[in-house]
Amino acid sequence: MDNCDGNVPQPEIEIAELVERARKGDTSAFGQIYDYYADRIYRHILYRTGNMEDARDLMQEVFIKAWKGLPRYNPTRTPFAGWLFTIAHNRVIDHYRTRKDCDYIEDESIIISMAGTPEKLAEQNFTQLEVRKAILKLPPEQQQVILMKFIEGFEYSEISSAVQKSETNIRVIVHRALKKMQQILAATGYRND
Amino acid sequence: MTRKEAVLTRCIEAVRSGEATVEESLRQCQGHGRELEPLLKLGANIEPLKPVGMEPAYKRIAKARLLEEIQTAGQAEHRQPAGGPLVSMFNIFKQPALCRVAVSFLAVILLFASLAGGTAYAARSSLPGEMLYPAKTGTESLRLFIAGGNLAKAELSLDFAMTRLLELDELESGAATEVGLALEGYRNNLDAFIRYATGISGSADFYSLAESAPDHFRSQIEYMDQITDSDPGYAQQIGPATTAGLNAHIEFMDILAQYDLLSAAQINLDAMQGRLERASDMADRQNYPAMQAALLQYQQLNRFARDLILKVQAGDSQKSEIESLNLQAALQFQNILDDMAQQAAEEHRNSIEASRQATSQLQEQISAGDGNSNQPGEGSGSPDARNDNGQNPQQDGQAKPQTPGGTGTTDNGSGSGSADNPASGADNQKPPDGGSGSTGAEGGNDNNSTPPAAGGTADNPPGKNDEAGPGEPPGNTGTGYDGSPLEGPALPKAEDNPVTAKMTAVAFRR
Repeated sequence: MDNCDGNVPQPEIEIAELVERARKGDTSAFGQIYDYYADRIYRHILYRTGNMEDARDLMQEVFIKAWKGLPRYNPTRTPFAGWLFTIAHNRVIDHYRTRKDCDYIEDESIIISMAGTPEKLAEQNFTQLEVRKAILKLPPEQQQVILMKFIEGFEYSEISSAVQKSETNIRVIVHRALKKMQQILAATGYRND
Repeated sequence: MTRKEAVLTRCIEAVRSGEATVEESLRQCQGHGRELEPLLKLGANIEPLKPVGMEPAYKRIAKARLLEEIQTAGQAEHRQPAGGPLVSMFNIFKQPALCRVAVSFLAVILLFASLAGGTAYAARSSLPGEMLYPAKTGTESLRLFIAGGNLAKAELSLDFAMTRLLELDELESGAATEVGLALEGYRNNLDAFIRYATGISGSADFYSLAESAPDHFRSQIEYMDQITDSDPGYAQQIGPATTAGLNAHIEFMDILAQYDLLSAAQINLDAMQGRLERASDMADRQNYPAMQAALLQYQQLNRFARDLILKVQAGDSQKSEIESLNLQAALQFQNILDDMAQQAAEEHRNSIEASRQATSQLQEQISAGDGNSNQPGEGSGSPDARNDNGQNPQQDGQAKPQTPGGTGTTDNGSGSGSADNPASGADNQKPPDGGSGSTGAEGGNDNNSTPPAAGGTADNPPGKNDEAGPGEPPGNTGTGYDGSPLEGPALPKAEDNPVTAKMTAVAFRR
């Protein structure tokens, strides 16, 4: 997986070491894990909720859940990042299950790009807004796979470990999800040329 | 998986990584091109997320809250030894005679544990003045008691200090008694921190603490800024807490300076810049009381900077580097202050002028020290520093800027200035527990033995500080620190220590 945003990339081994220490109850190691992943988890949740306040609250809950779940986490089975994103994914689903009144897409600034000519920008931003809406209408599993693959940049092997399905299955899910998105986009009159 | 799914995902990968165009990829689709083309375009078009992050200040606070949460709630259930005690317990149950006794014993234990645990859990979110609050602070004391080593205790104390501030934020600004309880707790937590830090001064644990503590202080000061900004009614009550936080920061830096002057100087300069930026920001918003408060904090840190320079000039291998750092920073500070002076209304310029003069004194002290290595006890301590005491009689309701014991007296042993100005609080502070006295201050710094421990404000209720003039933000004067070095083992310098060598804390940003 790529490194987090602007942070200095940390070798996987260093993260693994921090995770191991955190599993033994080292809160300061967990604090460093938080420093490394918080922005990314926050962005991921913000992308899905479109609400900054919700994203902040949910992100905290994700890390609390992660702390509580660390003793059960098996590093040899799932990469830590994938495991953390799965917690975030599930937490967002729970959030919508319990709060049916909330608006899915309030703040779209997270995907609005500011680079390029005005015409190109308008076109790109429109495309990404439509794409985001389509992603958020996918069934949870497809949504998770598409987000992890195309938005977060995970490798197929990492997604496979995180969602406990074979790589082959993940590729099938990607195919189905894209087909579904195409249908959703077509229904809104959007042409993917 | 059918072939087209493998082809599709492979083609998307190729396009997204830039290895091939959509057209080139479609040519590889071998019969599936028409069907896969829209999916390929769609997949290739999905853009990764923009690198939007949380505000650093919020992130720090959120992290503090998270760590507090997991420490209080998660620790007990987090570490369950694998097997050992459980296995022994089950062995007991295999013996009928012991079984009944064990079950009764367990029942009693469980009853008490559930009562105590339930109370502790319920007390977690209690606030000062509430019935369960003593249980909360009692749990904290217990955690401190069982924490292994001074490093863990010091870190816990900082966490608890942050907890007090979070409580403060939850309380109504008018709840004077409850706010007072939280503030008292905050100061006690900081005192405890300094005590534990002193206990490990110079050790590897101390360097580890030195990496994280400035961040904690920065978060705390920022948090107090935020509370004040969101509710100006809090300014008077928060003032003493800010002072206590700043004093603790300086006390800690003073201990660090014994072993690593460069790191202490860097962290202090960053803190000064942070306070100036805060003052500038407040000036922009025409929040002049907050601007003055930040400038007073800047002046306090500036005094500590001058004290450090004296120590450096007494003989330090990194003298030129530290002096150069300070000179560069001072130039930058003067520019910020110049801008502020130009923009601020006439009646608010005196405190800016006082800060400018304090900065000039720092520059002059460095220049005076070039080629003239001052020795402790010689009393050279720069006439300029002593002049602090008589300058700027017309600040906007602000106490006279003084050079407390640190600059002119503590190291030089002249004893003038600070001893004559006991109300400054700078000299009223006792040394942190575990550190005894000073090397050169005996001549004049009689007030060192006087409490309070957490700076000159501990006994001064908000708004009652004698030093504060009528227009001064309450609780931000009468502050200071004991610049005298603490006793401790001789240790290697920073460059020999990988922990401090990489320490680049940026303290007290807005």
